[in-house]
Amino acid sequence: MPHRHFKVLDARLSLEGPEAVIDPIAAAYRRFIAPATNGDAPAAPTVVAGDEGVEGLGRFTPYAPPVEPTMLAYQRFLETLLHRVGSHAILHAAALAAPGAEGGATLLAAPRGHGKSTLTLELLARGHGFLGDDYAPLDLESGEIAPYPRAIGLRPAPGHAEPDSVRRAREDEHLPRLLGKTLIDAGRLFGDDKVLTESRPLRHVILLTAEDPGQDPAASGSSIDVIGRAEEAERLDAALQAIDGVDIEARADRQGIRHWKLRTRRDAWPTRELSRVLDDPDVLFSEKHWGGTPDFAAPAQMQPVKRREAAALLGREMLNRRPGGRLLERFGGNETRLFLELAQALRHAECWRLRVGNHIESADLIEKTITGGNRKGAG
Amino acid sequence: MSTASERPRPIDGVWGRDLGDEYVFYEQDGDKVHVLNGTAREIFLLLDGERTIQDVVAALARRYAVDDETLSRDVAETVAHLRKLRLLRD
Repeated sequence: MPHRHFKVLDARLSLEGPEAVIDPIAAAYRRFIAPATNGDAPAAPTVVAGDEGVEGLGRFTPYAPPVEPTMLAYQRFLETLLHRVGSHAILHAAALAAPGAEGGATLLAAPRGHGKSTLTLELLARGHGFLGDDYAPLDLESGEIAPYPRAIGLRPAPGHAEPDSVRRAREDEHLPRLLGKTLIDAGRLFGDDKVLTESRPLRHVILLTAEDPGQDPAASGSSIDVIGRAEEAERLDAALQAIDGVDIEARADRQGIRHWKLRTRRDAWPTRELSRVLDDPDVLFSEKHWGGTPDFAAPAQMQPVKRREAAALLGREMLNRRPGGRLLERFGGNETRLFLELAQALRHAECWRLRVGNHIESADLIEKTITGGNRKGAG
Repeated sequence: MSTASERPRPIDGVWGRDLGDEYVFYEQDGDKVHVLNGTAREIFLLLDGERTIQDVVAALARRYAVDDETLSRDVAETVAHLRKLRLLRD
């Protein structure tokens, strides 16, 4: 079966399976494709999409409609990748570099549906450099953001206006698609010179929120969609109910699966217990959401926040902090130590909260902040 | 109460980091976070086991236009607070 090999930061991994299943994933990670061997020995496949299901991270998960094989393979590919990356804390944020050879990195962190991708594309169109659109690897020692040039995933229909180059790309039927999104390389949209290959020092963190800037967007907790195999639904249900800090808001049974809607309470963030259930081989898919619904017609507003607050939010959304993973192993399995290192890595960054509004106005405010027009940021 | 000649220092193994605007640390035997900001952060960072409390007062006097008596009282109160948090040892 076809193989694809990847080198992502300090992690090597490979993917094996039918082209129809693995090619969309390889298209998203095209810039990370690496030679097939590591020295003389061929690297063993780390994720295998077979006829019946997906194997990876030491477990096998059978296919169960309506979860597509590519979706399952992609989720296991990401889990494996995030398990193996120990060199950087991978933050859930877009990362851009201010124009110029020495431009510092800016992170845009946001819940789903807050216009992060649109703002990222708008700032790229204005000449900012591209480091990553969704994953931002932070070197906890140097405080630098490494490039993560995964293809940008464009949703089928934008919520609002977008740069011309993006609109044209969205209409290109020849581009690959993954999980319903059109994949496009940032270099194709804005030029290869805009896709940065070197790390940049982190200088600004901007937390996008739907709430007034003075409010913590995570105060109301997060919601999580979980899909599990129907045969194991009662066992998974009991495991979820046993987690202190998690409420089951809704359940829906469909052919072969059960879909849970969970809400986590902020004061009892149950990372370990929840991770244990979400890592269960009979959980097919999970996705976290947080924050309210933005009003894109409202005026955008920027307000400084403490680095500690920014670190708390970025830490909660850190993608590779799970127990057993290489990053947490570096800190003796202690999340508190990891959080402190993250907080300190922000020491040279100004931190802000932006209530998003019209995306042009929001982009103007971000540029003003980056160039020093706003002078009250932490730091 | 501390005396001017004491040289307090942070206890070994404090899980804390200076973020520039605040000093954040965790209690190792619990999950409680403490935050020192403003002058308390500055005082804590000056208490290195080499400087006396009087040295700390003098260092702050060079930074701020505050009389020595007020500074001495503030430093003594802060040191007492940091000891209560089990952040300092003699």
